[in-house]
Amino acid sequence: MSAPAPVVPRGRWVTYRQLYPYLLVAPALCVLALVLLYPFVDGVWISFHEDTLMSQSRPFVGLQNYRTVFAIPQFGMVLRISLTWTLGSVLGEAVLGGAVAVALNRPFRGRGVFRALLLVPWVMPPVVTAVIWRWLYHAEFGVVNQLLEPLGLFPPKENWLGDPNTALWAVIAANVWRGFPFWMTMILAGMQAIDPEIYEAARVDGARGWQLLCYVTLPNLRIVLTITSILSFVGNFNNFTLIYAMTEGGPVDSTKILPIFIWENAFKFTRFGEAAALATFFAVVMAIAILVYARALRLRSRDA
Amino acid sequence: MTRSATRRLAGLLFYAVLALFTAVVLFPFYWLLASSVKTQDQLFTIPPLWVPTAPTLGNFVRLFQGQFPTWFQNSLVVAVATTVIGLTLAALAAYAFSRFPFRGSRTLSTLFLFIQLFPVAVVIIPLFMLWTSLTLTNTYWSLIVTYLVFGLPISTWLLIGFFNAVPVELEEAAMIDGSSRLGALWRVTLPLSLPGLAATAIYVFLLAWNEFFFALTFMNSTEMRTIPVGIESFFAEHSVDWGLVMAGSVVASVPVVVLFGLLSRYFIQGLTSGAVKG
Amino acid sequence: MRSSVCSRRRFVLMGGLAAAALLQACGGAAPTAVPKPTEAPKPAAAAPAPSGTPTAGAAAASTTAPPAGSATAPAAAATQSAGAAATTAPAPAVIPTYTRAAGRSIQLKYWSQLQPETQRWKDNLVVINSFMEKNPDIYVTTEHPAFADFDTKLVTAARAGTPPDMSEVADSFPQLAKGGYLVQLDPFVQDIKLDLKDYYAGKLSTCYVDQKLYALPITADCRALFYNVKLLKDAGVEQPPKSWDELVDVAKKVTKNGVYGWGVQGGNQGFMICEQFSAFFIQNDGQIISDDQKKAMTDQPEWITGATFWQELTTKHKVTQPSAATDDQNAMYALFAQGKVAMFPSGPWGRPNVIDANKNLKFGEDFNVSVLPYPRDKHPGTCQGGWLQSIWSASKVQDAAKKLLAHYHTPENIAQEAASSMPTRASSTKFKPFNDPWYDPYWQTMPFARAPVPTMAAGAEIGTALYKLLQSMLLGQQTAEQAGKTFAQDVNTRILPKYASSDAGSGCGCLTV
Repeated sequence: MSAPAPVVPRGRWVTYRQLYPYLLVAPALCVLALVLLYPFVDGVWISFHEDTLMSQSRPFVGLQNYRTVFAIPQFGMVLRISLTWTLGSVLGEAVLGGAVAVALNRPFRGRGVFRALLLVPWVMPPVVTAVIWRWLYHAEFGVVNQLLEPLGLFPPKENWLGDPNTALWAVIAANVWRGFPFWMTMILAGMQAIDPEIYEAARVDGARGWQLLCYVTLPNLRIVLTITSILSFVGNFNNFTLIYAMTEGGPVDSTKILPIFIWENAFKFTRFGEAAALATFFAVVMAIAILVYARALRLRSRDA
Repeated sequence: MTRSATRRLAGLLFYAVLALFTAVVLFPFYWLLASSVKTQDQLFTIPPLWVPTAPTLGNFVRLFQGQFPTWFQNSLVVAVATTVIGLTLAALAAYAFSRFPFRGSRTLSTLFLFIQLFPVAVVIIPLFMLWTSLTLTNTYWSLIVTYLVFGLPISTWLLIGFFNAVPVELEEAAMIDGSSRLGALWRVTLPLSLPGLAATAIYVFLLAWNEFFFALTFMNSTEMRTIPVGIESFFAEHSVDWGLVMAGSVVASVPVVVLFGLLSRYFIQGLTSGAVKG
Repeated sequence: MRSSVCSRRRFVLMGGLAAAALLQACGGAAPTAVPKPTEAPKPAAAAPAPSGTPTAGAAAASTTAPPAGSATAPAAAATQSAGAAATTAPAPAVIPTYTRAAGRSIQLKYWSQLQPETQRWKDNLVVINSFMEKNPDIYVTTEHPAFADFDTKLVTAARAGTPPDMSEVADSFPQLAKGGYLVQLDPFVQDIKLDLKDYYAGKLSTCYVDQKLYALPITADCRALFYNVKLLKDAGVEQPPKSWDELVDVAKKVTKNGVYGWGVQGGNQGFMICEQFSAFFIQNDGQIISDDQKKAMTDQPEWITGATFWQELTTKHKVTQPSAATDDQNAMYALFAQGKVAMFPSGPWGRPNVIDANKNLKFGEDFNVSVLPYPRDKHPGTCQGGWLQSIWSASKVQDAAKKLLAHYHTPENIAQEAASSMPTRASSTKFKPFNDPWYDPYWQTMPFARAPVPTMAAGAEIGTALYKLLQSMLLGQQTAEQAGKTFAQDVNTRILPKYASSDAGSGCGCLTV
């Protein structure tokens, strides 16, 4: 996002030339405002009202909904599970995607084929991913147990999605499987954009292998990594479909991430006001977190 | 000789590891394909049937005898329309961001990202009410407009990168030859950013093709379902038609897998030439 | 692929029997949901008259009658009746045969969770078609949100002000009724002199919210014990268990070599509570919530004894399959059909599903049903399930909706629409297919069956909390006694007060934070 200082000259009359960029952005902006801004504002508005299906009057209640949701006993737990889910997924995807990208960055015969094949998990509809992984994880019919049992590392007939100790990690694994190609692609693209001359220069200075990775590749990937991690973080934090279709938050709440919790409050308990309060609160928290994160990385890159 | 031998060995090892990894990654997809040609009782054998004996296309026959062709068509219409319209809007906006840095451009591009932070579960009811008041529920438009908005931030951002990579001088040359600004965009910048456009198009297409929750909420009639919602409907109260679920899942994923396989080169090329340079 | 559909439709329209035969031949290759040829109902079986209700074997053993049957038979009737000619654009096979173009000025929108291709829906369609035949001015359009999302769709539609005119209702029913979204039906019932005494009391009671009637039941079901005859015989057991002690005994004998005596469906809230757990406290006269809906009863000995028995099947006697916590009803049928699970409770719809999962099984020889075991000094009993129908207040065609509701609720039509499930009126049981001895265990259980949680606005939240509780009991995290006491406290101090305040109508400030 390169955005140098505004160059609009001061003037009494806005000329067509000055208006031009705004006209170009206008269609996209209108649609965005209609579809995102309106529901967003409406969501915030609802969060200050008592809004349930049980009454068609929706009185203003101030911060009541916020106080109610903070007092829900599971609140802290949902937060913890959400963070584990998000960070676990982002880290897993980043490490796996990064490793594969490094492997695929060197030229070899058949590279294109591998690159295309490894994109398959990302392309499959999440609903389908959930169906197939539930099947793979099944204690009796599942392939995972068929493969792992001979190794003797785990108790036999482990019910991966039915055991609160393993369920969260099992859905994270499925999610990493689904999401790593995104990281792979972004990092691969980033690495191919690095000028080969920089590597040459580093090699002349005597850098080898890991040193090249740490001192040349990673610093040059900073922008890609920043952007990818933000997108991945937001995407995973708000990911609803996979867990909804795999465990619906169970067993015993062990995979109850925030979007599921919000959905439950809104659609099962029909407490729209409280659901909106939860959503608003977390949107604000996330926005602040991401601003701080992006700012920190940008400052560091400027210092460098 | 020893040196070239170790090299060759290392090369073989590399291939072996990569092939094994790819096989593991592709296994769920293979399992889907294999399951789709099994009969319901073959699906439930213990131990599982690794390679289907007596594969049958019966599930696919039944799938296409039902309403699935309509759902496929719905998904296709929505995804293609979203891609075309979304790309147009994103290209215009990205061109503005790329060529005319203007007041508020940075704020706007940041805003694009932040509004997406609001969980879908809460946005969905206001949005549904909006479509209701515009009498757009149960139409393709409700989904197309929604999806293109969720695709816009990222596709605009991707395209900004690609456009930045195209030298301004080329456009200026075209404009000296009498072309308008948009004409220059159309005739010079877009053709030069083709890999980038392909990358963005795939991204938007995928988003529209795979989405479930909006499609579930906005479409009421059975004939207006998209594929993911259609697949969900095979799960009934007391029975699941796994044959249909598996066959439907195959039909849902194979076209995008093939499309992506063919275009993956451009996808990475596009990202490389544009966006990742910031 | 489109052309294949078109040609199919053309077949359906052109040739009645030929088409049916062709479709059957086609479907014969497909493994599931196809009745055995000998049991297939004749196309005429779908005609509206009660005599035409599907035969016993067909209804129970088939999930898909020839689509041509239900589509063509009323079509023929339509062409005969004046003004209702189906000569305009051919309706897809799954849509009612009458079109709006046929001079029908009133459009009535009906939502069902049943999918158009299913036998259950085709059973319903017969009733809807006969209704349209009787009422030449009304056209019923149907929409079919999938079962898993049905309630979400109802809630969204209600909140956005776009509900159907009439629909089946699900978990959100008490909230919808309380919020004024549904029409109160007491005056209607008086007007048409509907004999409510003929309805199973346990099911009918779930239609009342705050002592007012907001729905009528269309199905009322209960559970019986499915058991694998051969597995029991191999373990030296000739008769299915009748009491709790026998159940434990038999289950223990059967559990060996990867076979499990008792199947648990813990992967879905509805089934965990209804299919699985509730029978045991219901047989033992326990309750989850008191009749006056004022307090939780899970700290009472009746509930604790039943819950402990259920829990110990898994935690103490270890006769439950390892995948219990995630298995849904389908996985259950599959495990049972594969001989991995010897006994489990299910409704009458389970028979075709078991056979689908293993074509070699024969009902009566390989597997059978009996009354779910109960304490020696008590009575049978299981959860009572079933679907309700309501009319929406926002509907502009409430009169037409009431006509349809009245049409549905004759003993004949209830028997017809519930043919692949269980009817909600006692007098419907004399019709086919319910006069089959296969239903006997169900009829024996029916008088004692009831809903685990009463119909109340707090029900959704209580159900969710209960599901979590049952999962943790199943996993052995706490004993039934601890669980019941914690749960009662949570319900009494946190959940019920929230709803008590909304009952009082005061908006805010009443919650203890």
